[in-house]
Amino acid sequence: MAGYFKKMFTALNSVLTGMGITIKYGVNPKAEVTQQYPEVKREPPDRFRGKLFVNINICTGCTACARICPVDVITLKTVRDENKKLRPVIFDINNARCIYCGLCVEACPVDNCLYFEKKYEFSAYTKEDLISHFGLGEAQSPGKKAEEKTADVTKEQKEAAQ
Amino acid sequence: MTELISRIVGGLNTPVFLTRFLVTVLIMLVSGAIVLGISLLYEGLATYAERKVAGDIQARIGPNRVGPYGLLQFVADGVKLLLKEDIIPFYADKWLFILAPYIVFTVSFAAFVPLSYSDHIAVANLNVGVLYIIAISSVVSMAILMGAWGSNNKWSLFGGMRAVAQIVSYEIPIVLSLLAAIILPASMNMRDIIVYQGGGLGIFRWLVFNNPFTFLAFFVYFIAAIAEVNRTPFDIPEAESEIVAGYHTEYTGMRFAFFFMAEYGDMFVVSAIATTLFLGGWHLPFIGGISMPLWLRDVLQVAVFFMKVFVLIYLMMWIRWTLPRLRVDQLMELCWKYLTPIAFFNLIGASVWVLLLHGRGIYDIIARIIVH
Repeated sequence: MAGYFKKMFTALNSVLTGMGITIKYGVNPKAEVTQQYPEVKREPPDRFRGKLFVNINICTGCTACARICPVDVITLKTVRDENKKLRPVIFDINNARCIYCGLCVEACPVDNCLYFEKKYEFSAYTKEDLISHFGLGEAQSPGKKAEEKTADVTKEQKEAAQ
Repeated sequence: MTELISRIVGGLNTPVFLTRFLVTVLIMLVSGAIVLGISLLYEGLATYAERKVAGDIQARIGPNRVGPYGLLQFVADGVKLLLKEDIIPFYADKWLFILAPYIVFTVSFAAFVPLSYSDHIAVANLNVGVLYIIAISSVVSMAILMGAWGSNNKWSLFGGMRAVAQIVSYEIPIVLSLLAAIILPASMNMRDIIVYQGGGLGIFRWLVFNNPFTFLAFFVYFIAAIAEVNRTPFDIPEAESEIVAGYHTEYTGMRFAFFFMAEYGDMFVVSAIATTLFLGGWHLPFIGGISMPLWLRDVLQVAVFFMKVFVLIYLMMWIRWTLPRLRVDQLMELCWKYLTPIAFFNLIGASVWVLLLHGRGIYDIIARIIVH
């Protein structure tokens, strides 16, 4: 008989404890932790791996990134300019295939050349739109041969220097 | 309203027996339409409220996209359910399958009828109101079993069987605890019961405060009522993690919506019964003695009645989003080993109290001591 009443008391006690905890959240509108995503955007953490970005002007064209990539994301073609320096004329990153492993970033010997941006909203309608073109030659002269592109680039750089 | 309809029909120059017939039919239709409209609106808003309460308790926001504060979410949901494909399983018993949701909904809607919303507003002033509600809400179990059997699905059948076992079991503590309250006003008429609870600042003569036995009976009734309307923690008839969706596994679109609306309608009805029998119904607290125009009094009374009901509904939602589901044997143990004996004890205790003290409550006794 004592067990019977004790059981009732335990049940009542645990139910009321639980309800006490939930009502704290139930009556407090500031307890909400949901962020309304499209309106409120969260600041990504420091080492967030978003879209890959290449600072193409300081790229040495060593192709270390393209060689280490396990999924062949990076298409890299280089030519030598008149100072015998390697210049990347084509530097395509296929974001559709990237697995964000970060090996290319680690392999890059130049500081702040290849790194992850904090951008994560870059969905596109076609697979082709997901390829980002960083190559020096692409912007000015699409479709030209590599040598011609290099000539264009070096010409442009000279003009910029003057 | 009766007068208005009689005047309209009386102008038609029809024979007397036809006039009477028309008046009766029109009154039924109009009051039915009013109750249906209000109950549908309530059911829509209750689903919204349920999701908002769930959001609050789980530190989320809840629906807030459709309309201001997401208030039109239930309209969007209703349109979605209307447009969904209506699937009837090939091996289903078509008659039972089609009929079941309508019976469930009709029954939960019919239970709105004897409720007394204010001193002058009621759909029907039945002299057996409480009995009528108890009787009509038991039909739900039959309709649920119909749908469950008709679906020809093992999960549905399990759900239906569980629902019937649960509803039939929990009727007993419900009826016994209601009886403990009814013996004081000695009437089953909803209005009489509320009138009996008048006075005492509109609070202290509520039946729940009348004596310790009715106080206990209120809680027994409320726990059993949650089980009666199949809500968590007593939702084993539709336990998602065990039997898919229980008795409405095979139902889609509007047929499913009928089951869904009936659940919220039942919630309102059991809360309204608790309000009527234990919490003083539409009596205005503190300001009942002040003289005011009749219409204002009626409006305030309806507001007070609905407020009490909504507090109880909030309590049900709060319980739902707090407690986990009971096992089947735990459910039966709670009913037969705990609620039923306590309800019997209450009934006997309340009867002895009425016999010895001639229906005087604790408030009356204290008031008498203070006066003398």
